[in-house]
Amino acid sequence: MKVLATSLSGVPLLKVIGDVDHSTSPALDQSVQEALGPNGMRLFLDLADCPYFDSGGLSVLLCTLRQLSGKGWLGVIAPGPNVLRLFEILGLTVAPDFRVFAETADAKAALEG
Amino acid sequence: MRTEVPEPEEAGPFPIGVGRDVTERKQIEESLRLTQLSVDRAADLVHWVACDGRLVYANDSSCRRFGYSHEEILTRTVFDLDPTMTPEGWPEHWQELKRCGSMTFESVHRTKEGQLYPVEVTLNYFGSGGEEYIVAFARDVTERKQGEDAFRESEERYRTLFENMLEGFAYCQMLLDEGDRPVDFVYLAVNPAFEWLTGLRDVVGRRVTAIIPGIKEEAPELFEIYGRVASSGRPERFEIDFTPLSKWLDVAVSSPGTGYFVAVFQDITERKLAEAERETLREKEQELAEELAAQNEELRAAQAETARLLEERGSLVRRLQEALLDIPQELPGVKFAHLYRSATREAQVGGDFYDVFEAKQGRIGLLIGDVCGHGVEAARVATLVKDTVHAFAHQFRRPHVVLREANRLLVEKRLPGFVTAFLGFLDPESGMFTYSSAGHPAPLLATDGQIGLLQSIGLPLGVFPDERYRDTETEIQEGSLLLLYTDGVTEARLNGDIFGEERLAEALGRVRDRPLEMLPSLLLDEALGFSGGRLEDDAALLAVNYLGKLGGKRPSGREQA
Repeated sequence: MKVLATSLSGVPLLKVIGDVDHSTSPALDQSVQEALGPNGMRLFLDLADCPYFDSGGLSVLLCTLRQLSGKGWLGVIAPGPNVLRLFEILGLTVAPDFRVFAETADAKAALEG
Repeated sequence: MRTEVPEPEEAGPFPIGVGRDVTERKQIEESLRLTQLSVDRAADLVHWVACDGRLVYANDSSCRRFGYSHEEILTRTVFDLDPTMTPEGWPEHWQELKRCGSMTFESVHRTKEGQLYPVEVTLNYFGSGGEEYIVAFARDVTERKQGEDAFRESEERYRTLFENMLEGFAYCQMLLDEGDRPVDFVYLAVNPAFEWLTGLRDVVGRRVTAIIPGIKEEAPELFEIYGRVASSGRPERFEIDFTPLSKWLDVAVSSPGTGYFVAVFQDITERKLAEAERETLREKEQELAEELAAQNEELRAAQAETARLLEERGSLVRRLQEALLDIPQELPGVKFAHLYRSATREAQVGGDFYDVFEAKQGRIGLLIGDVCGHGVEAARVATLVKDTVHAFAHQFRRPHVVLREANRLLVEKRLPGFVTAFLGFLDPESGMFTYSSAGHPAPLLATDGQIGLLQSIGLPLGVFPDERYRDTETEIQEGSLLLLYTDGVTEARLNGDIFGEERLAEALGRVRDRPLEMLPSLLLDEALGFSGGRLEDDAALLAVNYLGKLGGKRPSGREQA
């Protein structure tokens, strides 16, 4: 797994490439923490090239969500069907601070809108 | 020895004296005869030489040694017999002898055969009545000369050896105090090797304490040994770390006479250093070997301890797992079968748990859950969740309330990670099934030919303190099958794709009619068949068959709320 750190309209965006599993989730966690910093409130994860999350990866998302809870949000862009289903099962998709965007343009539009 | 000289003109060899009376004359004649005999038979060579070099007398020894007869030898001159004499040098020689009267020197004689041999010659000048002679006594010194030569050669040989030997050589005199204790020694002779081995120069005639101050203190044993050898005469040999010169010496010491000793020594510093190095190496090797042995011992002990701990933990893990998956054999109104399988990558206790239990109002509680993570900690959390849900299930009749309370408790306990759980209450009397999910994969419900998902959306337990869950209610048909599972089943992977809910539902459709107790393993086999036998996560399966209103007797005395 690789994480490319960029940004979208001033919001940090991490492009996750590869599986997020027990061996790579610590690296994702670290990237997320670095991108957010102590006072970060918004974060995008581009999951177009991330086919797999295991419970360790999901744990990173839940922790991030808990961290942002009530003050910001976590947006995921272009998750694959399996990953999206995982998010649904986990209840993430109905969580108020978790946003799912089909593609980057949607995320950008949401920011500007 | 003096002999009277006869008249050379006389035919006989006997000198004739003139006496005053016969008796006296006879006595003189006797004496002369005796003298003549002595001279004739003397072992030394005796001959008389005239001033022109002619021989006028030669005794028996002389004739014999020269190889001439008496007659022959008297025809010879001194120049024939002694090649060192020449007619040219003769007058001067004569005058010299005449002045000194006598002289002794070494010379060479030549025999009739031409053989040369060394002689010691004593010449005496004799002058009487106008006649002058040299009376010569000669002694063949061939043997003595040979001895001398041999000695000189030997001396030369030893001198050469002494000068060139690689060993240092010192001939010394030991100096004793009043108590005959050795206090110092004086070098009498040393060889060149001594000088370049010790670096000391001009030591002969000097005391060692003056040359090497502090030698007595630094090498007391050296004094002791030299003193002992000088007094006893018994040779000794020893090796010494001679610190004044920073050298190791091998010393052979002997005594040529009481109070004297000869020390022959060689520098063995390099050998000693090599030996010391070998010894050091050997010691290091020994140390290493011992260290290695100790480490091996430690390793063996550690391995034994690890094996013991693993065994202990294995048994602990087994007990934990057993406790987690310990569910009743049967409950009224339902039949069930279950299975748990560890993830491939680590054969240890996982965080999956499930339960079938009697809940409030005679309903049957169905619980399945998954603690994020593995190991004893995950199992501990799983046990906690199971017990908590169990306890709340007796207190509250709605599953979402039970989950909410359990979540609150878990958040308070600040658990690492999260827990997904599905909880449903089945009323065996009515077939009503009320369920709620906290982030857990949706169970499958197979009714007749149809298979559906029991969806209920909620976040996992242990993350947000105020998370609210929802109940969903559905009526279960008699003979229906509920399949609860953990994501280890649906997340079985192959090349980036997962087994997933759809394939699991299809698989359930295929095996639906097989005996209930076989279903969990048949379904797991389907998942493993998809992934090539590999499980990414622990997998648990709980299949529950609802027997229907007539399927089981209701326990008596149940309270209706």
